[in-house]
Amino acid sequence: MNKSQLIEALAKAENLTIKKAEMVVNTMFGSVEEALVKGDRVEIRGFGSFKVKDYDGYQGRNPKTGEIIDVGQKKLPFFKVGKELKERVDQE
Amino acid sequence: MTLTKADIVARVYSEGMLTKAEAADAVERSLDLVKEALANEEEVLVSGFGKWSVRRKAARRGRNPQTGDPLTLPPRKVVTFRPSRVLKAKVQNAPSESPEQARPAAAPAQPQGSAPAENGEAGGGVIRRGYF
Repeated sequence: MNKSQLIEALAKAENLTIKKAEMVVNTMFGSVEEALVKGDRVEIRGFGSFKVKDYDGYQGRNPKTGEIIDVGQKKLPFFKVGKELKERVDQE
Repeated sequence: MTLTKADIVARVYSEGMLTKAEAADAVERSLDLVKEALANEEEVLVSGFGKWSVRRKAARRGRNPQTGDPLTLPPRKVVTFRPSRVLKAKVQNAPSESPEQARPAAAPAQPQGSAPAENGEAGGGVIRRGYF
């Protein structure tokens, strides 16, 4: 399922116009993104939580050339699956 | 600060297109639709944001960490999320509280307004291609 399919399914299920459903989906992911960019956590009960994880730098190698390179510190978005979703997926 | 579902509903409502009840129902429904897709082992791809998918994990032998008894853990299905390159770049390049968080001097300053570069490319590090 991609975003436009989600928008269509939402419009149908809630009897909304595509425009309204699009706004809902975009606002939803937009606000999660905004929070993560600020470094805030996001917690959606039953679904999961998002946070930004800090990773230390390390020395790595280019697997093709074997060249040693420094990999800098990085921040990455991380999603932890919520209990309800976790159980639901494992059941069916 | 933690963003919650209630905050998201408030944001949707503030767009002025739906009533509070409609906004709450629509957010809840969207999440349900995503959960339903994943329960059916369908991938969910939100371009520019990320992708959720379901992975099947094989059964494995484990141990009860308390007693040390060996036991067989059954096969299971888990949800994984891969953030899109765009989201990763935005999070990485967000201004942070401590200036030490900035990338080492080797990394050229990100040109404003250009497409966000993959971390590895900008820092000369290991290049890992994202999916999208």
